[in-house]
Amino acid sequence: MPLPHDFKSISPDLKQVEAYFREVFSRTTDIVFREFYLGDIRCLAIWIDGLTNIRISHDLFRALMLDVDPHSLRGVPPQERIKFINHHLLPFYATIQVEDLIELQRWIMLSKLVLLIDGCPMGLVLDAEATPIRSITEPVLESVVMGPRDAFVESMRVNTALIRSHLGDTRLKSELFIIGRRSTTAVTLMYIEDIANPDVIAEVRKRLAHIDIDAILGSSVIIDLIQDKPYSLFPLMKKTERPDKVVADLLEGRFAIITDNTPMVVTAPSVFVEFMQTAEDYYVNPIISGMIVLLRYMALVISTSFPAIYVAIAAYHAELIPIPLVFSVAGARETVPFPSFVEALLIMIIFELLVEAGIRLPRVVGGAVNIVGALILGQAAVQAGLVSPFLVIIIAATAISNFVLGSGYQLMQAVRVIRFVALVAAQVLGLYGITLVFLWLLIYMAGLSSFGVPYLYPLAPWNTKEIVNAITRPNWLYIDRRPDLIATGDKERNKSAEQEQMTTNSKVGPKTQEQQV
Amino acid sequence: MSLLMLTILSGDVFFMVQLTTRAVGQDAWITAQITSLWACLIIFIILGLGRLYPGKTLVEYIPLIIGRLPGRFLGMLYAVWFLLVTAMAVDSFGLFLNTTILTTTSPEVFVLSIMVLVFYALRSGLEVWARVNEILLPLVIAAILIVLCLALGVADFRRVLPVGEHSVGELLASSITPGSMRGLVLAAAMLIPALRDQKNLTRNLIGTVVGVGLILSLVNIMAVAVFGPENCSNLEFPFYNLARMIDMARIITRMELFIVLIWVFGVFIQICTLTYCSTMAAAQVAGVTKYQPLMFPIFVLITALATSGFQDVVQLRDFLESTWGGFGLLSFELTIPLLLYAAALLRKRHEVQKL
Repeated sequence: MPLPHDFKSISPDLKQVEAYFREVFSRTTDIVFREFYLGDIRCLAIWIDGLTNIRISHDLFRALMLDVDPHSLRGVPPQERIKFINHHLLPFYATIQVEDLIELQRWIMLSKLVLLIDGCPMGLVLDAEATPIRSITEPVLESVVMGPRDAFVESMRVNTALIRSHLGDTRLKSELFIIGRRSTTAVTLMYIEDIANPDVIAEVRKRLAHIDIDAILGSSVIIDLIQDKPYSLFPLMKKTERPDKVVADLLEGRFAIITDNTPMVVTAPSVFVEFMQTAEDYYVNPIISGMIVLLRYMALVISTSFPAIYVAIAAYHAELIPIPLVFSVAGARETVPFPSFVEALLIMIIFELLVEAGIRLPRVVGGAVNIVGALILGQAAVQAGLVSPFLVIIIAATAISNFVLGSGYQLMQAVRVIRFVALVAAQVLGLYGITLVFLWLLIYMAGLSSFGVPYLYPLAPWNTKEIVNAITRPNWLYIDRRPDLIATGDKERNKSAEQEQMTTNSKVGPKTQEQQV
Repeated sequence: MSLLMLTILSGDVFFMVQLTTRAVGQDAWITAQITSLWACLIIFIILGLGRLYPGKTLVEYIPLIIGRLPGRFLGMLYAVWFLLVTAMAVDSFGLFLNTTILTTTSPEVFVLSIMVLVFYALRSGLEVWARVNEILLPLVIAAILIVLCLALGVADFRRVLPVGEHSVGELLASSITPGSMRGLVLAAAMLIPALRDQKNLTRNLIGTVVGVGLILSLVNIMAVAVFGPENCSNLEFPFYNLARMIDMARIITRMELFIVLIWVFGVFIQICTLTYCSTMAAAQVAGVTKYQPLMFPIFVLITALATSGFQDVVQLRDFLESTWGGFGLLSFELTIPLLLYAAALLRKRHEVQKL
């Protein structure tokens, strides 16, 4: 689906078309014009060098120049030539006949091979695309222990193929959008027709169609352009590199946006609790993963508020510390020249610097950062009496908790901000200040929505069954319905529980001794 | 209607225990049940009025019942009443924190900080803070119940005996003041048109006040069981002190901070509801369709009233004990709506006869 533009017909005179393209692609060395003759009819192929599969284009020329009888086009009227070649002479599986010059030009830019024939007001687009792509590797951000290990790559087509291979449903629809006036980026919208909410799909279609930008540099640009609120502390659309996660989202009635040149697929509508789950949860024992999910919520609380609570207690509520501990805390803080707030702020900023350095540094020198962080900060700062060892422990706990949230990398970033806000509030108003910050966060989150779905769903609006699904992980037997607010179509997910009788009562396997007797 | 649950509960749980134990000693928990009756009466009246004038709020149908000019006047009184009640709630919140957990911080700081958040919440819309409430309500109730359970270790239930020492008259009289607090269920009259679930209104509202009544009875019983009726009526905030008494294995101590902080959530919802009612009432008396422009002036008024109201907790208690009953239940919450309902019924019958 090309961008809207005025129709421009292709002239039957090949010389004119060639002149047009030579003008458009002047001083463009990576465009190839290949001229050849089919009998005595002049033909022209145009493509971008390096983005076309050499073997396929080789096959094309072999077919047209060697295998075909040069006189086969003799009886065909000139305007039918492309159609005839397409239908009878070319052993190609993916072709499009195009009558619009601008569209033809755009197909060239989308790394297709275009064939033109003298006398025919039409062009033939051949899918000989061979964009340089990375091979499919293991996920970098969202690794699992037990579960599929494939991750998305930069090519949209490969990504959609990955999703398809996980989900062979005829009702899984994929719509193509070409976005970006200059970049002409291919963007695919995928959803399951009879599950997803048609209003949401219409809305996302509208928002995608309204994008008018010069270039799409990645899926994050799309998120910025279409999410419900331009500035939101919390992620309103989920980015993932795992096909199984996307398929799970599609099955819950969400849509997925696959952007070319990005290994991150975007899914929405998203709610808060989603970012607290990982793919792993669904591949291990439900009892254990239920506990791990709870652990993750604990980590969320720790990583947002631990330093703040330390500051609040040290500054306002010293009575909260048990008496035996009070002496050691006070003793440890004796040499520290700063108030606890400054102390905490200092360490937290340095910690953030370390994290950032760890991400940006080339892997070869990354080890150096660890040494600096562990030795100089952990060890020397305490020995020098700049910070108390308690604070170092607290910041370490915070950091570890933050990494536990790693699966929702987007959420982790929000948490980093909240931690500082809570710290300041704790210094100003003690534990009451932290309470106010949490209250503010709740109001803020309650006001957010992602494509019409309240962000705090299923907590508010309350839905008991969904909450159980979100904060524990039931056996698949009992995940039988899709989330109400997201999936409006087919809600039945799983009827295996009704068949349970069969599995529990069946007597398969070797008989025990009692049964034999 | 869980909005109203926190609205009522937050005021009751800290401020009413002392007053009722002072009046009827160990029978305070019976008072909490009698109070539910008052609240149910109010609910039936406002639901009856709501049925006669569907889709309209209290302030909107008053002029339809008693005529335009007197209606306007009474509506204005209600707007002012809501405003004063809100200011009282905010004021008592600031004073409470000032006397309990952050004694060196002046109450104005608490008033201002909570009002800023309330302003932010109301600006985001009714839906938003109603959702916040949905998350906070279980949290607050769970916290109260946890504290009550933990206090079992220091409780001696013989102190609750003898049951029913006081006469019915005494019990009724003692229920007037807490009845005014429970009577805040009147706010439903301003909220009903905005609700989605119109079918189960009666059930939900009654459930709300009865639920609060049960929790309060438990709080009263525990407070008396821990401190005994005499001590309980001398303590400023028995429930707060109850939380203080908790000592489980020397680890779970100082629960009073925990309960107060959770209570802040409840008060937040209370102030949101009451401020919303005052703003709506003011807007509808003035005949403005949108309440948003009035929000800022109302906020300034509430903050000003709240910061210049009571000097300290003693004044607040004095007000609650002597004036609040007459100001709440006996006038605006029960008597006036009752008269209105009677007038509305007469008027409806009159209209039917005319036809």
